[in-house]
Amino acid sequence: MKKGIRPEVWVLVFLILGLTVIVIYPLWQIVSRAFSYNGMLSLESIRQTWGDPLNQLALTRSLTVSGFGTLFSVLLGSLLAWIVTRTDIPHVRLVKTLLITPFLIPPFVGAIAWLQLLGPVGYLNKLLMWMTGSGEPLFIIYGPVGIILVMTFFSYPTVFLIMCAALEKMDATLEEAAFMSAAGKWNVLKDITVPIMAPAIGSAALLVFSHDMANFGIPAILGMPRGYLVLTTKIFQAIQNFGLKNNFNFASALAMELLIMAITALFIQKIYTSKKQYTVVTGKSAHPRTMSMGTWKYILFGFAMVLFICTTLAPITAIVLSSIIKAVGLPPGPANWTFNNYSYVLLRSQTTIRALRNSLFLGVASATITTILGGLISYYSVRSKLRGHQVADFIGSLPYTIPGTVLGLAIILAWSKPIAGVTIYDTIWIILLAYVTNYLTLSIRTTSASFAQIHESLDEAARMSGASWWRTMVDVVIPLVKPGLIASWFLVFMPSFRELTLSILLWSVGNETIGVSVFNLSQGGQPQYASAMGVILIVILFTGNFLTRKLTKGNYGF
Amino acid sequence: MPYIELRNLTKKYGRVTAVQAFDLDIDESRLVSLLGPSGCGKTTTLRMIAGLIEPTLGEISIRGRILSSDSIFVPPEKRNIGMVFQSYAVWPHMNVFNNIAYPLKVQKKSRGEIKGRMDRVLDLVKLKDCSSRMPHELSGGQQQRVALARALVMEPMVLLLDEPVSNLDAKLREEMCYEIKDLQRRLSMTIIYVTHDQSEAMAMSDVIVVMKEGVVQQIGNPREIYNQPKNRFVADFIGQTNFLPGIVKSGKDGRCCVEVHGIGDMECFCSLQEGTHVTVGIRYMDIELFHSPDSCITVGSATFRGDKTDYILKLGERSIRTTQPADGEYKEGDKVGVKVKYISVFKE
Repeated sequence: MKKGIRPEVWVLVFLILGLTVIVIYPLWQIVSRAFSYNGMLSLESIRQTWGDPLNQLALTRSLTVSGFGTLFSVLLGSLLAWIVTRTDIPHVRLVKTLLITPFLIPPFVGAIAWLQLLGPVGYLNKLLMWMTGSGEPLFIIYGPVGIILVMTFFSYPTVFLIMCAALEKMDATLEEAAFMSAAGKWNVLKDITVPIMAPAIGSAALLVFSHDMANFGIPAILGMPRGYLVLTTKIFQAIQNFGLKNNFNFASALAMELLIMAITALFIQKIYTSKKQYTVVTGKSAHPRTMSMGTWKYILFGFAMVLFICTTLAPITAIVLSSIIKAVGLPPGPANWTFNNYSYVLLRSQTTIRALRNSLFLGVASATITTILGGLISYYSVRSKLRGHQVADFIGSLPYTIPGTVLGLAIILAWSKPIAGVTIYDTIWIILLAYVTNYLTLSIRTTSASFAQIHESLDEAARMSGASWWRTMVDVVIPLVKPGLIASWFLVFMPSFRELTLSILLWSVGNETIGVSVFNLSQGGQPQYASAMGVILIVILFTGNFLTRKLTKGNYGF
Repeated sequence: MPYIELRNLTKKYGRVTAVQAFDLDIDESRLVSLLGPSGCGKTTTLRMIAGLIEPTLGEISIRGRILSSDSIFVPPEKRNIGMVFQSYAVWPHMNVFNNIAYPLKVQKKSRGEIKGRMDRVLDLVKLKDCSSRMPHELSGGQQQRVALARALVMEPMVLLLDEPVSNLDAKLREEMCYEIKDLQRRLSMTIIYVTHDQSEAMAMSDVIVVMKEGVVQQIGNPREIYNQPKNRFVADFIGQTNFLPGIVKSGKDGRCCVEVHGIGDMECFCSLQEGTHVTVGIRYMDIELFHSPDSCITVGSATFRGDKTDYILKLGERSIRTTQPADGEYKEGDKVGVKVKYISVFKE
């Protein structure tokens, strides 16, 4: 056997080149478009865009709704986490499961659901109007308040999960020492627990803020119809505005604002988590004890359940109701129920049937491609001692941290022109490319966690027993990583299946996704069909989650 | 021709040299130990022989076949070398039989041959009744036997063992050492054994290679290493040794008279010149005690350990330690005289 450059090096080079093409090149397009005007290098686009008072208003509004959304999510999520981990409320596991159900519902479907409750002709509004005798709806969910509300309801589970994990890992003895020093429950909470949890809270807040800033679905459904625009919806409009010259330059200039904010947030996160002064995760101490709340525990349990009903059960009920109503505006009694809407979307409407098929194809394809690609990248990242592997990992994780609207624009700019005679724009393939680019990092994270658990000596023992690299993969590595691969597949399938933000920018007639279909139906004044599609989507997602849990023995999934 | 030849084997990681110019010839059917503290390069050397690490410089050949050199590198799966890892590396998703039979499966041996070899090797490691069990159902000792059997079943040219018994409890460790040695004799297996435990190395090896920070300190059989340590490090690492300063008073024909600080004049074998400052090594067991009211040496502490008693003796500002039979009658504060049976001398 002659010595040469090891095959690992070639694979790594290929991976990094490939990633550069699908990630760096599109992002570069945004930067270069933002800094051109009429085809030449210029600051004019930025000047016009950033200087336009309407755009500045959109930025302010983005910050406002995201800021308040984050504030309320953090308060709600932290409070709930404390209740679940630190008090002795009954039926803890049930509460925990119920509180994270919003994860399985796409936010834009949630927004549509809330429209059914608190829209101008929403059920709740009708009920309140009837109860108070008022002629006008008391509260309409359109506008900033509605956006903040729905964002909070869909972001608090993230905070909840992060804070639950942080609280459970906290060293019990820190609080116990406070109790021994005669501090009461309230003092322990405010003087010890909260300050120590501060980094976790900060981390969660940053995550939620980035998420909210990048959200398209909720402000699109609850803001656009009333002209309340945020950055993401403004960019969306700029892109659709084909009649305007330099529209892509303006869109890119706006996208730069979002991009800068996303990168700053990422930066702050990295600095924050590398400081680690508050590392209180110790291996040996017992789990923090739960405090006895006496009769308060029932009140707190009730509070959690009321919250669940308000944030999740109510909108789901509303959307289910709307999906079985004969026509908009009719009272929701059983007399007006029908399955007509379902038979329409599932059997008669070509658009929706196509959308279901497309989403299924996109979900399966992107899940499979990212799992294979992500698995390869993880393998080299975890096993290889080459220094370049971290580069591959980093490039791969960029798209996910970038707001979907920005990524969508980048992909349009990069791939709308034919490459070697082949155009993927206006086909389903550009959507697939967008999904793979966006979700690759999910697969990398999941599979590298799996690979890391397999000690290298298991590979080496196979080599010493005479197995080639390929044989080792097939006989030893892959069987052991299987749960991780399955998890990665589902973890990519589910968001791909329900995705809206990218496909709303990249779709064309015949290539609608479920998200696009639901969105169009809602904007087009057909809430009964939108609701039916929404319910179908939710059912499929719940089933997918159930399958994930079953196949990975509860290790993944909610 | 030596069975295994290692020439100038070197491994560098950036500016750090993990193994420096390692030269060794190993004869067939011998058990050679690489012994030293953590980070001394013993495992790196072993992995270079296995083919899991590519050497920076140097050559490895077994039975005349070059496995690694400047222009050649044979991958590990083609070397026919058996290896037992410190963590055993027993595959969790295969039962005992499939774990051990794997090398035969990979080499596409016939069913008959697989059965024959498996029967023999399962007998050898006494795992006949466990062949359908899964690894998580086995104890640590049993898992280790699985790893051993898997390495032996392919009838390798060399067997490499990387700290195979360090994860076992003391009693089991001793047992396994005897069994490995027994296996070696029965199969006439050439074994390279990595360990940080000097008593293990002494018990099992035909040849010991003592290493420190990538550099070979001494190569020899256990008796040579114990009785004639070449430098202070080896004397310190093997056995229990005190170190005292001394000066060579006179020397002739390979014998010297050394004045040992605090003890007096001692004779020893060395070829150093008069006036040389030296470090004198005295084993704990090579000291005899007797009561001596005028002595400047007092007993600092006495610790009874069941089969022996450890003493710390004070010589002015220095202290030395000694191990005595358990029924000694010396107490803290007693004045004692010492009679040293044997010293080693190292130039400073």
